[in-house]
Amino acid sequence: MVDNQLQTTNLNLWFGNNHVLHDVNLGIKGKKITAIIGPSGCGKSTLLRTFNRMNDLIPEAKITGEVLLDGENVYNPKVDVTSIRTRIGMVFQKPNPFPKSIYNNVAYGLVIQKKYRKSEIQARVEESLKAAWIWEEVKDRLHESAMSLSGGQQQRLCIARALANNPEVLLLDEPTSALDPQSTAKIEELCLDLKNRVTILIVTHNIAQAGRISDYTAYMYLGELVEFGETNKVFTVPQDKRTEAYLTGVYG
Amino acid sequence: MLSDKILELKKQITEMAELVGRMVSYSFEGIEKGINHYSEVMDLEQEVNRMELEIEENCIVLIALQHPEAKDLRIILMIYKINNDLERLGDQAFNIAESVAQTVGSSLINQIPDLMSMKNFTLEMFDNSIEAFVNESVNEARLVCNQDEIVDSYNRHIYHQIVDLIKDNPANIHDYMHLLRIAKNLERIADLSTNIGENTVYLAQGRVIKHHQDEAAGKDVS
Repeated sequence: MVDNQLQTTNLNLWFGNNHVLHDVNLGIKGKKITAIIGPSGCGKSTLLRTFNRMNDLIPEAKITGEVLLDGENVYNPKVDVTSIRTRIGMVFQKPNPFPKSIYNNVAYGLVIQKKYRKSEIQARVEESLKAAWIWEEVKDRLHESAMSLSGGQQQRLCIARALANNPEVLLLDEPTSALDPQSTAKIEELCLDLKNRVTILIVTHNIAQAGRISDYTAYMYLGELVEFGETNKVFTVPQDKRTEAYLTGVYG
Repeated sequence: MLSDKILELKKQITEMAELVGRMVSYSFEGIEKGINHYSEVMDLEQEVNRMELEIEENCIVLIALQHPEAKDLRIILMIYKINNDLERLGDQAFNIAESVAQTVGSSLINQIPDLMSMKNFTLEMFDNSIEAFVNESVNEARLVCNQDEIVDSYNRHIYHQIVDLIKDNPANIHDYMHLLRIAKNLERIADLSTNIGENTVYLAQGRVIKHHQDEAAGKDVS
């Protein structure tokens, strides 16, 4: 039986000689929000990027250990990377819509798979834009350039783009650090709303944000998973002195 | 998000207050109707203690995770304090149940009719304090604070009555001491209800009215 939707087992990662992740064993529960926090350079984004094999794009990256998605090792040579990235969507720090229309941004992932009818794609685009809470703002301008949207809207468009593939997991790498407080609040509420349909992993520098939205918190320090537990517990009575120091602003 | 959680906390506080009110009413049924509810009151007290821990934990988690500010922060802090007061109210109610259990069947209570009036008045004051808190009503809260003196005078009056009764019937001193203890605990219930009133004014307006008799009486000293 697979308890955790995602699981890393003795995961180590090097960029050249730089040992970035040290024996990370982390289990992620399905349909929950897990926040990964820690000071800059602690490896939290690198860890996030191991789940959908984004580190494959870096030639000097070397990985040992396993990353399991529903019990299946995503690093198994037989696994199709594209299918992994369809199942595990990602949204980055800086909104990065394609220089295309709003509609085509969301439709793109479906179109290139060449297996959906136009009417299906239309329905999925609308459904995804609605799920990302941006439909009302863009429904009358679907064929305008995505670049005309505000930063907060662009970020919700990127979430819609990821949702269009019906992913099981959504990786969010500091999704609000380039946004104003109001857009940030909207994305946070959106995350809570999406929790019913998708597992969310969020890397954030904003400790308060991790507290507000996550069910579980992982604290990383110097490439090591120092502490992992229910956010309620980690934020009130952390078990490790290093977590306590980070949360209280002593360092990091 | 935060507002929903605060509403949930308020709901828990009213549930806990309802249990405390029931503890006092049950205890007095021993006096009024000769029904001994001691064990039910004991169960309720344990439930109140359990709720205290739960609400305390919820407040701590909410402060740690949601970083409440301004009125949100005041409400959570006051809920934390009211929660503590309610647990102590549960203790007072339990003390009453203990003393009632010792005097069940005694007709001596008929010699102190004011004790029943004091109980009714105190319970009403307690209910009003909770209602003021739920409605965040400054007027209702101040009214509760002003009623504390009335319960104090009941207490003084009953004390003197009981002292006289003991002089006349020293053989019944055991029962009289329990009746005196009941009055004393009612007086404490009124004190704690006053605390709830004061905390309600603070959560609604951010004004501290504790230890300021003039302000508590509603006279504007500013």
